[in-house]
Amino acid sequence: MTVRTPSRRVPWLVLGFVVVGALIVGSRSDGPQTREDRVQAIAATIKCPECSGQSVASSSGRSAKAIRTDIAARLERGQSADQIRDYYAGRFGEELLLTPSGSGTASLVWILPVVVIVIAAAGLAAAFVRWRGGGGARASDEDRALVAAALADPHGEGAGR
Amino acid sequence: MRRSHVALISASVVGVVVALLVVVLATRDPATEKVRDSPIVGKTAPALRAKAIDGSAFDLETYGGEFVLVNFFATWCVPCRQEHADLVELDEGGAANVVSVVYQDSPETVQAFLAEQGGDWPVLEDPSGQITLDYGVSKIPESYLIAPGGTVVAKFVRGVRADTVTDVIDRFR
Repeated sequence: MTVRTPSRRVPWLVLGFVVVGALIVGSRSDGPQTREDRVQAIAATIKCPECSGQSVASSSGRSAKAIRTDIAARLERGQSADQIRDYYAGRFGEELLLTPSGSGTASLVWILPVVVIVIAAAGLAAAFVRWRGGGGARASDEDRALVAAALADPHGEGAGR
Repeated sequence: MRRSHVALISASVVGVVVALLVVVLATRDPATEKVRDSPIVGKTAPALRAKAIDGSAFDLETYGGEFVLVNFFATWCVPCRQEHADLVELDEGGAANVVSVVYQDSPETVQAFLAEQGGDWPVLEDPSGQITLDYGVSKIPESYLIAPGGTVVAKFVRGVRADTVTDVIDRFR
């Protein structure tokens, strides 16, 4: 059985800290937003109905302008971002949302990658354990005989090569 | 795990994914289908109160008890011009009351078009685009058939045909 020394764990610990730190920094809010910021943030998640491949936030089409105005009015009335997005999904269909919903069948978009990553990590871990456990080439009787002969005659032919 | 087992499992997974893709694609509506599903089909029609291009006030609620076809159109849209004769047939034949909503067009141009092509029904202005949003209109021409109870029963895209609309109305009578 091999004993893992503390020094071998240090790089993994550092890697763990870096990943966790990056996730914390990346998910941190930038503080209070203005209403225009909120309108833009919601508009960026909704596809312009009459354009191809543009969000409502980046389109200058009339529908996009109307939706931005409508989003501002709905925020004014106290609706949340999810309620506003649900309203548009209820009018145009889920395909209008650029970021899929976190519920129903659309949630598979979020869940499946995590499941795949977990399965892949588990597979890799199992493979590493198997490799470490001596799953390599096994010595045959012929190999053992060769080694025994070499040990018995350390100064014989081939020594020093 | 033996290699033959790995190959069998991999092939099975790929086979299942391909089979699912085939099922999903085979059950989708063909692009040529003009009667399309919509999130508002089966729900109460969005309120429709607006000013008509002749200056009168319009309210959808006054049409309770009759079939109404809410049509979104513009004179610059070729399929809209092509469907116009069918709209006239539906409205004048009494199958449904046509109500048009102008989509990014000027009232003057629309009035000139109707004077030339016929069509004596309410034509509503939508300067803010709110009616278009309420009905979830993506591309004109789009039409929504509203049953006498006020429920949206069908959505038509790429132009209506009078016989198709009449068939749908007959199913709901």
